[in-house]
Amino acid sequence: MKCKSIEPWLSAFAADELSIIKRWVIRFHVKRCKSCCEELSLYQKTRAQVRRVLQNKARELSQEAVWPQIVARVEIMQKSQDRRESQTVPKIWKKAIPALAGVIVLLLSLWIHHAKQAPDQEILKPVLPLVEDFYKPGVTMMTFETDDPSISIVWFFKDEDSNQKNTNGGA
Amino acid sequence: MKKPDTESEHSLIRRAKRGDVQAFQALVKAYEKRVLGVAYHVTGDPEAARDIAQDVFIRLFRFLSSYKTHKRFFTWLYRITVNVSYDYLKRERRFRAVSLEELNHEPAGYLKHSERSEMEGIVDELLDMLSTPQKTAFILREVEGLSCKEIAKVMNCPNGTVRSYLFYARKYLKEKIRTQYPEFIEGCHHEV
Repeated sequence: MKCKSIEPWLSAFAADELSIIKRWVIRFHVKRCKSCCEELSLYQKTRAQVRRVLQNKARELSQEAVWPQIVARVEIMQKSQDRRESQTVPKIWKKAIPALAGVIVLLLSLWIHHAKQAPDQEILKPVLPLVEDFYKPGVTMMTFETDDPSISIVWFFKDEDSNQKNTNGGA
Repeated sequence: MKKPDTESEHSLIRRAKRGDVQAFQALVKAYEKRVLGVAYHVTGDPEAARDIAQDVFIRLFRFLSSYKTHKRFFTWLYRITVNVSYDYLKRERRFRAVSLEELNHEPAGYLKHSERSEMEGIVDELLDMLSTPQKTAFILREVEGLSCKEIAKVMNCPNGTVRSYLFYARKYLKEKIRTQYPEFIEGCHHEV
């Protein structure tokens, strides 16, 4: 390979960032090319020195701990956060409360709807078995009029066992 | 640089999320040197680096609940550090533009080259010549030992862009040292 195509890879080679094949190609070239060898050496020396200086500087700086300087602020923030959490409704309730309200409204509307229809059914309920009995063979019906014209007493007699059933029904 | 054990790190993060201040303190202690280092190298100012580190950890405490455990914690923390450092640099540039015109002297917090060792002076001068993203990528790679993929996540840019930043930063440093500071690498032996 020519020096022109190797040169862009030298800095990455010095930082050990290339794949095995590229490393092998560059090493092969550098061993035979003096100018590229010097270039690579310069990259490696520059990198080593700059890293050394920067790491020393960072080490000197980091002697001082950050925690003592922020501990007071963190504790204040923690306390205010705790206070806020104790005052606010828990997250789960924020969703549960509207859902619960919805269910209650639905149940109420169903109950109201049911209550509107209920009186008719309640009147019919005691009458229905009577009507069934009326049409059954062997059942005799007697009707007694009362003083109240809206009320009459109806008696059913079963012929077989003479059991009596009496019921009040609206006329 | 050695990264903390992820298992214990996860349990620390879980506890800190629940409001355990001691767990948060352990996290701060595990990462303070690295955060300080990155902030210092990006800004070039030790005082600013301390302020930035404090700001980073305060932000961390506030927003730890939004951290998702599938992300690498240190990448997330570096990202906060880089963003806070960039914010500082933006403010500082605005401030410095005014103060230099008015006062015509070096801003406070910056030590003069004579006060530092010659080597540090050269490195600072060279790094100052790089663009902020180039400098950040270079520091995260060479000092913090992050991979290009990790740097891309920290800087929120494609992997190829990070490689490009690193290439131009290294090339620039090498050329400057060859032409202006050949004494910088004298005596440094490196096997090819």
